[in-house]
Amino acid sequence: MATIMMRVRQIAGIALYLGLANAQEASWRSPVNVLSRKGLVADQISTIWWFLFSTASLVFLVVITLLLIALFKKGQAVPKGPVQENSSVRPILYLGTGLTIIVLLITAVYTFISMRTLAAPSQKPALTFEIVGKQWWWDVRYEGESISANELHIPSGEPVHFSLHSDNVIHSFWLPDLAGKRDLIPGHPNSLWLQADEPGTYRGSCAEFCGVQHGKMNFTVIAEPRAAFETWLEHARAEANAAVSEEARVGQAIFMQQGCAGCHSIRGTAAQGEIGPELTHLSSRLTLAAANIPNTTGHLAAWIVDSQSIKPGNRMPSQKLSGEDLQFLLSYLMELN
Amino acid sequence: MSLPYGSSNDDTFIETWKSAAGPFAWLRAVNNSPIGKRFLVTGFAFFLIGGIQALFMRLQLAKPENNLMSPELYNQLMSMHGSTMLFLFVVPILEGLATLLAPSMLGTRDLPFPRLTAFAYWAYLFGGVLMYSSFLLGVAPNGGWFAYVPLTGPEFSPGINMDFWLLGLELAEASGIISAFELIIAVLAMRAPGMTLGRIPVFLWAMLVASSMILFAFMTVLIASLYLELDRKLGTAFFSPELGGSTLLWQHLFWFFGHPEVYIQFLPAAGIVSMIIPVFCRQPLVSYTAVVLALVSTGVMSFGLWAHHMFTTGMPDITASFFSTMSIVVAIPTGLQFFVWIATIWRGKVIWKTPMLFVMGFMVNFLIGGLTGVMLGVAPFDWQVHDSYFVVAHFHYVLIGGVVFPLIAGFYYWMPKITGKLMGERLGRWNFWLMFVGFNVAFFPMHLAGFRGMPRRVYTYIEGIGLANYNLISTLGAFIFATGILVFVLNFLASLRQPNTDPNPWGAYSLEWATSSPPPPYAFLTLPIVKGRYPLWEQEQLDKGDEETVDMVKTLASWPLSWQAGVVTDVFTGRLREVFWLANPSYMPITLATGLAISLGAMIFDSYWLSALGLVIALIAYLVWMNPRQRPTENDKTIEEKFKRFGVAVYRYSSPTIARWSLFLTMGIALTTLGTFLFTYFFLSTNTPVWPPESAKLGGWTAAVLAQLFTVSGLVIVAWTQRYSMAGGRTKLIRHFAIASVLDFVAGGLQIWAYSQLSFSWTSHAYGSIFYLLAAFQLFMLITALVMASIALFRLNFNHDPAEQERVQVTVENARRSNYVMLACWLAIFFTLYLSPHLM
Repeated sequence: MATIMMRVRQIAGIALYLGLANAQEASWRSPVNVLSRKGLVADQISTIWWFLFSTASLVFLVVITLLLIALFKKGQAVPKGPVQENSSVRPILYLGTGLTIIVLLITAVYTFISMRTLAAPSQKPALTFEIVGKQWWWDVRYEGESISANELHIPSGEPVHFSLHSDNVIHSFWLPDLAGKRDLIPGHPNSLWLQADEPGTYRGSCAEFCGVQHGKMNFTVIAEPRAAFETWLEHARAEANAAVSEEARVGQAIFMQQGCAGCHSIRGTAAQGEIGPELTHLSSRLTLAAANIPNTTGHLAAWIVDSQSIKPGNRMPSQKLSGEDLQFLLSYLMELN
Repeated sequence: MSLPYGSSNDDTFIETWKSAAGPFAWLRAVNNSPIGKRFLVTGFAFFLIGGIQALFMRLQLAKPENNLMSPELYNQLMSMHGSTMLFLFVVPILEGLATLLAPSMLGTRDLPFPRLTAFAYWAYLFGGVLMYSSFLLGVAPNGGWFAYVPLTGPEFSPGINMDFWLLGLELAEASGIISAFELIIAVLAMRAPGMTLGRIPVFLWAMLVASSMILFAFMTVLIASLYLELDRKLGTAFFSPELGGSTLLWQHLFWFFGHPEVYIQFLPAAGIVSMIIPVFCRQPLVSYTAVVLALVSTGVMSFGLWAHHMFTTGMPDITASFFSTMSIVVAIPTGLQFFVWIATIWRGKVIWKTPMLFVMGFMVNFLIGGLTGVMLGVAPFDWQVHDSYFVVAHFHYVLIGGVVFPLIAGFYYWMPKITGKLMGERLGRWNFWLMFVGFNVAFFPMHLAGFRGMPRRVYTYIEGIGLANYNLISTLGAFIFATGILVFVLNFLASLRQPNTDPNPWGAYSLEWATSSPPPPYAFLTLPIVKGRYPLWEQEQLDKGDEETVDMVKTLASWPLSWQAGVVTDVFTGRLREVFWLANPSYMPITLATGLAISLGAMIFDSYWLSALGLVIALIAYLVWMNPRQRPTENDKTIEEKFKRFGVAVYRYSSPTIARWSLFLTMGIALTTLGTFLFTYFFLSTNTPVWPPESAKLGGWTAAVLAQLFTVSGLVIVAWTQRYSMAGGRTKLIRHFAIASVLDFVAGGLQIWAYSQLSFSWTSHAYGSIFYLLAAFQLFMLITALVMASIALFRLNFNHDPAEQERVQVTVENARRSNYVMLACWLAIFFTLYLSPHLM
């Protein structure tokens, strides 16, 4: 019964306003909501929305009420002969247009004010991440070095600055829970700031059509308290663990020989490819294939041998590997934590 | 039974106006009524195709991670759905409706250039077919209807998909410009006697504004697609950031077209609404003037808000504020129209027929689309919902709610003037409710999906993120909506079996309802004499008026009978000024369009010899077109004298007034082109730290300066001819034009030599790309001026027929004017290329 009720509310569009989004379940697959008020910027934009929504609803009600009265009140047909424009109903015209102008001017002024408050955070961001849009994944850099792909951690409760670039086509960086979007444009560097008020996992996606796999170009941002974040950052910047188990050592050799290293880099090893995502701490990430599948051994195996049916047209060829080799390779990759 | 007003029973007259006969007659048919119908049928066919593409996309999105189609196919459908609806459906069908209806609404017989009407149709059809032929090879355009670079550039779209899009688009947009060109002249200069500027039906005011916007807006998109095609084929660097080009240049040019495009579609739709409401409320519009002013001001303002499509590209706050304000303020005139409509309904007695139902559907849906539009104008809010499903919902409310609903209302309303039949009311109601409910079920949830983070143009979405229900509901709604469209088609087909209806089944007021349903090809044998804005409500008889006008329209009804005569009226007063010959059927329009289609199609496959062959065919067709063999022979000195006494000139060739208008509009197009090129130059220069690049050395200064001096002297000599009359100064005219032409010719030679001294190419840097393009445009304008001068010289020398001296006079005037425009282009380009680098 409860589910049916929920469906009904969704159909009526009430879901949004009652905030049924299950915010607590912090998973990369959870729903997002522009109005969830989880970040400073998104919070202010929500306020703008509620202003716009109430104004628009009022205008809608007034206009539709006038229209309905007009339609169903008794009117008359114009008599034959010279047609005179009737001036007795002109007040509707003047009043309506006057109100339109006032409402729109208020909206314009309100826009100016809200833009000014959103222009820069009150506290200068201490951190800058560089995000480079790729076809079809996100390269996360810190101080000039790739430290992750499709996933990054940020400290909660403080503004974070992003510098946004692309060396291919245009992409757009969008975290609906936290802030508005900003495009990544070749030859036109951009920047964006945002703040996650509370720790949590936030799903983002590319919002500018960027080619065949635009639909599967997502990412995850994990906000956590400053101390936890610093631990993560330090770990993310560190070199990869040396392969420990025997299987992993064989797997590493396969990684280097199979051509994986031509595209992927693993810091601290000979793999220095720059075409695909860096994999230094691959197994510590939540997702694979740009936040489209969970990062489990099974999914990783499927991705390696069949990336073209999981994400058709993406730049990683499906790999032909013997079952044994695949097991070795997986052991190696799973050790990259 | 007496004939309806305007019909003729004279066999010669009927034969003259009949569409061409014979098995292949439809290939050479001209005139607005057969061609207008073809526009409607073709436009509707594209609407159905685009709609079916949408249904397939909705099926793919109905559930998460669906595998109904590959992402590549989805992207092709998504790109072609947008391109079809925006380029091949809405604008052509609105122009087609106006092409069909304008002459009878204006109380005249045809549009100014019947052959151009036909050419516009063939160019549109071939442009659409060219774009769609890509499906046969499985390489349909896949870069979106907005074709953002660099995704669509040579590096990221190496296939031929986007070439089909670009070249098909060029042909289809050229057609749009031509139709607009004709409609502007028709509304301004070809109306029934007495139809003053203030009595033009509102729909045609809207078409006038929209058509004028088309001239500017479509040129910019044509030029943007030219840049992209040059980047793809000749390796220019307009959009390559690493070579001084700019990816944002495309967005600026595209949206400078793209935003006015929305109003180009909406204004005619609003015009339809303003026509229908008074009829079904039996009341005049509460304020005609307010509506006309609203249309004009929306048209003007719409050119100042394109960058609201670019709020997320990162622009200075001050720029964003400007475009935010403009985007909000543009809603004022639309609000004004809304209240005019409400006040009109308030006063009147509503008659609930299908057209009125659709108009009410429009008012509700468009109101929602308009309100979300204002929201999107607020930049910070736009940062969140831009390129999300909220925007998809918004513009479908605007384009379906605001344009398709009025268009369907228009079809129900005007069907008697299209097929002669009334469509069924019962099916009409089913049609309306299915469309209205289906539309809202399909598109309302998209607002919410957008809030839930669903970006546009995604072929799928993952499970468990709360998007599945919204999408399933949207898909259901889309199929309900499609059922509504199906009912429309059935209703239309059923109506064809009905007998023709009365001339005025709705009790409407405008002139098209005076003639039979469907109207005869000539619309009016006896032109109506207009005395008000609502002639059929105000006048018992349409052929009564002051003696002189009555005499003129009666005379025109009796002569000429064997050639198609059109009339030119005064722009302001609607007084008769000229009677002229409307060109007869010809195979040349379709040949010209075929030549161009071959030329563009061959370019896709880099087959340049075939492309050149296509151009040769086009050129030959053009020359044959311009020299009609069957100039009318029937003349009557007494009647011509009589017209002359009334101040009406009779021309058994094209109208001099229309020739002047045409030149004026053509030069407007040329200056728009120049403006776009110069904008490109300066936009790129401010986006590059070093401009011109250090490697680019300008050479041939002396020759370039000399070339300017020669063209300026040429202009002085041409300007001098204003003092000479045709009667006395013929030899002087000839001498001046000859000397000026020689000077211009030398100037051209010098300028080419100057350009040959340049040390850079068009591929090395965007500077070179725009430099050579400006140079080419400069020479093109010189050649145009020289051709115009040659025609003037030719006619001055050989045409001494006293009846055609007015025509020679116009040729001379037009040669002079093109010379002025040419010089303006020369000096502007010289300033930009040679002087501006030293001033910045």
